[in-house]
Parts: sequence; structure tokens; C-alpha cells
Amino acid sequence: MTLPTTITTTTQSIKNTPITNSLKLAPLTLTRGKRTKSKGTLPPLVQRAVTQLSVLSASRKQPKLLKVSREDFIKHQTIHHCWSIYQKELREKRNVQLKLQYKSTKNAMDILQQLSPKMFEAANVPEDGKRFPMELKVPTEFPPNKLWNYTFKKD
Amino acid sequence: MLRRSLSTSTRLQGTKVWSDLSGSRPKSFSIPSAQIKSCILEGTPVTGPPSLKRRFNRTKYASPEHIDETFKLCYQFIESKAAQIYEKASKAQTVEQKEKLLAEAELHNPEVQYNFQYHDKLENNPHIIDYEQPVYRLLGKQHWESYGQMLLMQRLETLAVIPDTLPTLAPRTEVNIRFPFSTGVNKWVEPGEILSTNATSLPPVFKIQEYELVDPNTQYTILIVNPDEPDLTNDSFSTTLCYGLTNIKLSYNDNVVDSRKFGKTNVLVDYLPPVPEKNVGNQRFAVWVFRQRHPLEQPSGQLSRTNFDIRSFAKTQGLIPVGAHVWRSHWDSQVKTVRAKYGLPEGRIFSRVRT
Amino acid sequence: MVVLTGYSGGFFPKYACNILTQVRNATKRAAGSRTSMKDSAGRRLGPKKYEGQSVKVGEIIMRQRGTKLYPGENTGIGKDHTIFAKEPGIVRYYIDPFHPKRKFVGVSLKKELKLPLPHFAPRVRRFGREVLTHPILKTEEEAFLPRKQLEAKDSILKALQDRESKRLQLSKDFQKFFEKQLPEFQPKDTEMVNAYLIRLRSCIKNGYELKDAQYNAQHYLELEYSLQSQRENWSDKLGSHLQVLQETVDTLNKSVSFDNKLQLMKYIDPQTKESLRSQLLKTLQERTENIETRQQRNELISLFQDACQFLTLSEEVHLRRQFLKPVKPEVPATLAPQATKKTINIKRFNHEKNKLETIPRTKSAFLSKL
Repeated sequence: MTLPTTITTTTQSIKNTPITNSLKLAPLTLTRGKRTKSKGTLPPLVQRAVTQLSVLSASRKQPKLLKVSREDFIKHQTIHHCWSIYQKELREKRNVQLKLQYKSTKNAMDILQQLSPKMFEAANVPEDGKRFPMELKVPTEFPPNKLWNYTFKKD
Repeated sequence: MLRRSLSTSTRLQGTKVWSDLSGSRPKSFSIPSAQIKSCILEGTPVTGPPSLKRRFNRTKYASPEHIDETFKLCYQFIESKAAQIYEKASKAQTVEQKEKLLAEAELHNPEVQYNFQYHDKLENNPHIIDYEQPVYRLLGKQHWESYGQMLLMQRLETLAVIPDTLPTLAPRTEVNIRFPFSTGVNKWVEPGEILSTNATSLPPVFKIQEYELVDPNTQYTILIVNPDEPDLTNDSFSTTLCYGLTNIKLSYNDNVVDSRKFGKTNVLVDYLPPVPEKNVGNQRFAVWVFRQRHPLEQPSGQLSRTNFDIRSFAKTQGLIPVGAHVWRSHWDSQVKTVRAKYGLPEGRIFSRVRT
Repeated sequence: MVVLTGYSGGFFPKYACNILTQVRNATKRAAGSRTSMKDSAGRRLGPKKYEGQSVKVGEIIMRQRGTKLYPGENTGIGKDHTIFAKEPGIVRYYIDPFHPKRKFVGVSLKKELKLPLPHFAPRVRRFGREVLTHPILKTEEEAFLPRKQLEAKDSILKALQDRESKRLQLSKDFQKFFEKQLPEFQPKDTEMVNAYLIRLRSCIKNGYELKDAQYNAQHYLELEYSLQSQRENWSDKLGSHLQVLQETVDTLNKSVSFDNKLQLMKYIDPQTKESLRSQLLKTLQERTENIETRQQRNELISLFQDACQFLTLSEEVHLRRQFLKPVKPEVPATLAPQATKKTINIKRFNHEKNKLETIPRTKSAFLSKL
């Protein structure tokens, strides 16, 4: 057999595996002072099994190696390349957009400076200490239907 | 989002540059095995991936979920991008630009990637890995730079081949050597390896792989020098020229330099095998490969082997060092037979302890 | 701990309970200054040789704590960072532009040399050994081998002898083959033929392609002959000798080759090989469908007798596996209806039904039981 190529994935597999019979059947002895409710997502017995497994060998703590045939590895690589090309293009598009926005803002400000230096200065007054300036709000065409959430509660 | 952008881009382009069936594409751009090709491009068959040889392993194997559908989508996307790059390449101004774009267009082709990753890169089959194609040259260069080149430079530096022979090296060609005539062993020598004198008793064979765009008429000079010959008058070492070949023509695929590639006129100096004397320690044998600016003339007198100054030789002949290799030898029981074979005088014996 | 209860005197309130702690040590610590015992004598650190002083091999140049100075040219550093000379010469203290934050001590081999030496210039080295001229010393030194090499020597010599005897045996086999199979082949030089064939065989065995193997073997002989001619002063006859070699090699390449078990055989051209292969495949496909008797089985096996001559090893193994299966798959044709004495009964645990099952199979399902 040819050696399959490997890909690293995160260690989710242990968490997702169903609880085996042996784990279910293990007697649940109650001891004082021991935490019975688990804080995390895993029940304590499973957590114990996971801990024991992880102690067994260091390789289990490594990201799991997925064994994949040559063909699938090439497919996997192609998908990765495609995604990176796509992301790169998106990034470039956004950068261009940002540059254009900056340019037009600067243009407008330059014109303003020429037309009325007073207004330009007023527009450029530093607003120290103002934590939530009006400009932060996303502009909308109409006020919201529900103006204020009166029953809002912080949980 | 990807799907939408893909559908618009394919509608705009609508060209299938990779899956072109007209036969105009080189053979090396497709996977030789029809089974594996269809498995990659059309999806894994029910029987499992054909690269797994045992049926048991094939039936046991499970592909990652939705890999085939995702792959098809991505293949179309990258193919459309490749079509754009090909269009750009057709309008390219310079040869270098064109080479770069052509390599880029095929770089993510899964068939090219499969061919390169799973076949022999050193003793390449030109129908599978064809170094005439810019993309394979790019891949080969990346592969070499990822390990072989670094190893070579490390060995050259730690063994002080640079600066003992030439000041430094900007590695551009991959050089490999082996000794098929002396023992019949089929093994490429790792840089810096210590070889027995029996193994090196007959001349080596060189493989000089170019990854750059070079003029096909470029000629090469190969020199082997030994900078560790004891020089008793100065209580130091001198350099000996062991082998010299010149005016050798190569191509990207046919680049093994053995006597089928050159005649007597190409030999600057005949091969002198490593025959270290007792207690001189390890001697380094540095192989230097030069690109020539012009054809070299056979020197009128016999080129002197002893006290050979490789720096001045390279300078006067206008040679550009592009690749190197090194192996080491020390005294062993076979030195005597090799010396007798070449009619050399019996070696001196030096004191074991340094004074 | 001592708990005092009901103590009513002094300033303690009536029912107060007080805890006193008390430590009892085995010995009483002597009074005195805490740091008085810690001072040690000076370690006599510092440079032992100064700029321009001459040193011999092994002399200490600098004692230091940590690397105040780094070892430069021809110097070494000990485990306590002591810098010592590795070559005789002149001590030089210097800085190196490659490590701008470090100071170095080096030993220059000549008085006029300043350190650091130019980075791209060849190193200045000292050989430092003498030629032995005394005949006894010379022979002693020549015979000397390090212990490991000395121990390995006998086994190496024996292996070499074995190899030589094997080669001799091979050449005898070759000669027998020529006498039997190719009596018309009368080479001018049998030694040349043997040498060529032995080298060709080993090249093929080492994984060279046939063309390269043939070239390697021939070129090996060419080189050997040219060296021999130089040695024995018959360079003028070399051309004719090489001509003979060329002719011999050509006839050998046309008349013999090696099969996939590296045995010498008569040459078969590729087209005949191809036709033989397809013929074998055809007969195999015809015959495998019903092998019932031992005779049929033996006939099938005998088809593979000459297969090594026209099939590669992997092809042969592949075909053998395909057509000479030791156990046929459990299809209805190879399953017997009932377990009798004439059938082969296999007991196997069925995990689904959770019980032991007996599977009766016909004898024809097993190649060795026919």
C-alpha cells in the first residue's frame, strides 16, 4: 500500500465521539466534595477518559493527522489554493475601495479648505473626550421602528 | 459568494485552458494514468481511489466529505484565473515576464501538482516532469531550495570549501554527482559525504539541472579541485586540479554529463582519483560548475595540476560559478591499489601526531 | 502547642484561650555574621598572554567567567570559557565586523598577519606533520589501523573473498551457458566477456535502466583498459583493443540478456517479448476458469516456467497472484451444498448470529488441496 498523505486537523474528534458502552456502564460512586455537575461541555466521565488518553502519549496531544489518499490530497491542495486566491482578490478589492474612499474624502476636504477655511477648521476640530461621536452611528434612512428597548435586561 | 463570483467570471471567460482536449497541450501537463486522472477530475469512483493498491485498503478508505463537489467548483475557478494569466502572457513584453506568467498559469493545475509531487524529480521522465516547461522549472526550483540547496550551502560553509577554493557561491543550478563506473553502485552522493577511494577510483558522472531561463547555447565548465594537498615547503596546503571538463552543452532534460556527452577535446585535464596519503586527514574534493561567457580554448600547454589557482583561472576565462558539490576522502586500504592502477608513486607517510 | 485554659492571672480576660507556638530545635544555631564565610580567594582571572606574544599549542591565553572574549582564529574554548591556542603563533586581540558586539582573541600563524583575515580570502592553514623517513617507523605507521578498523578487517577481507569466488562461479556459469546455448559464439577474449557480463549484471541489479547499465559496463571496461595500457606501455595497441571491446559488446547485446532473476538467457527482441506476454495472458485467461485436477494445476504453473524471460519481476508476481490464487473467493460455485468428508469444512464464528458456523467448500477452491 502506498503511504497516504496527511493533513492536520484540530482535535475535535475526541469530543465528538459518542460515549462508549464501557464508559456508560462504569459505576458512579458518589464522594463528598466532588463536583458532580460539569462546568464544561463534557460530562465528567468522558472528561476523565479524555484526560487519561491525553496522558497516555504525547502524540495524542498533537493535532490529529488525517490520512488521505494521494488524489484527495491533491484535491485538498487545489481547494486551499482556490480559497487563498479568492481571499486575496477580496482583500485587494477592499483595499482599492478604501483607497478610493480616502481619496474622495481628501478631495472634498481640500475643496472645503479652498472655499471656506473657517468651515474647514471647524470640521477638523479635535474632539477629545468624546467617546461615542455621532459619526460612529451607522447612517439609516429612517428612525428605527422600536425606538428604545425599555425591557432590556443584562443577563 | 465564491460560487457567484465564479459563475460571473466563467461566463466572462468561458475558456477551459487546462481541460483542453484539442491535444495542443504538452503531454507532461496531464497525469499519465487515466484512472488517477479521472479520479481527480471527475470524482472518486465507487471502488475507491486507484492510488491505493490493495482492495482492502480501497474499500476501507473514506474520502473527506463533499471533497469532489468542492474540488470541481474550485477547479473551474482557478482554471478561469489561469485563462486570464495566459491572456496576459500572450501580451507579455519580455521573455522573462512571459516565462513567469506561463509558470504561474499552470502552477495550481492539480494534474501538474500530482505529476510533480509523486514522481522522481532527480531522474525525471520528460513525459511526466518536463523541465522544458516553465512550471516544472519553477516547482523544481522551489523543491531544491526547500532542502537540497540549503544542505549544499551548509556543507560548503562548514567544510570551508568557500572561501578555500572560490570566495563564495550564489547557487543557481543543482549539481549532483555519482560514480557509476568504479563500483556499479547506483547512488547520488550527498554533499560532504566521505567516500572510499575505491568508489572514487574512476571519474564521476555529473547531473547539472538548470532551473533558470538560460540561453540554450550556454556552455559549461566543470572543475574538481582538492585544496588539501600537503605543501611541505610552506608547511601548509596547496590546491590540486583533479578533473577538468569544458565546453559542455546541456539541455533542461538531457543533462547528465558522462562520456556520451563529451569527447577528448572537452577534457581539460584527465581524471586523477583521490589518493590521500596516510595521516593527512580528510581531503575535500570540490566540484565547481561554471557557466561560460564564450567557448573556452584548449590551453596550449598542459594545464598544471599542482598549485592550481582556481580563482585566477575562473577570472581569466570569464567563468561564472553557478553550482558546486563536495565529497571527502581519507586514506584507506584501497589507496595502494588505486595508486598502482594509475601508475602513481607510492604515497608518503606522515607522522600521526601534529607537531 | 500549649493551650492554656483557666489561667486567671495577669491581664488575660477570664475565659480567654491563648495559643503559644514554640519551636524546639536539635541544635542551637551559633551566633555570628551571616556572610562572613562566603568570601573565596581570587581566581586569578584575566589574560595570560597579551597582544603580540607568541604561544605554543595548548597554552592558555585567557581565563574568564563567561565569554568576555570569544575564541577567534586558531583558538579553542574550554568548559569554563578558558581560551587556549590550537596552533603556535602570535596572539592577536581583535574585533570582527561579522559579530560587531564581540571581542575576539586569535592566534595568527605569521608575525605579519593581522586578524581578522579578509572574509572571502582562503584560510591560512598550517599542515604541521612530518614525512616519516625512518624505514621501521614508516612500516609501523603504514601497518597501523585504528582499533575498529583492525577488528573489521578480517570480516571485510572474507567478504571480499566470497565476492570474488561468487564472481568466479558466475563466469563459469556464463561459459557453460555459451557452450550449451550459443555454441556458435566464439569470443576473442573470454575474460572481457565475463567482465562485461558481471558488471552488466550488477548494474541491472542496482537498478540502472538497461541502456545505462550497458553503457556503464562498457565504459568501465574502456577506462580500465586505457589505464592498463598506460601502465603496461601499450598505448598504441589501445585503439584496436577498444575496437575488439566494442565488437564484443555489440554482439553480446544482440545475443544475450538477463532475465528478471538475473540469469543469463538468449536475447529476445521487444516485439517477441510482447507477443509472448500476450500469448501467456490469453492462455492463462482460458485455463484458469476451471482447474479441477492436480494435472491442470501443474500445467498452469508450468506456464510460468519461462515467464521470467519476457516479463518483468513485478509483472510476473502480479500475474501469479492474479491467476494462481491459493484460495478462491467464497462465491456459490466454490461452496459445497453440504459438509461431507470430501469437502473442506471451515469453522468460523459469525459475529452477527453470534454462533459458530461451518462452511463447506469444494476442494477445487484450494489450489494446494487439488
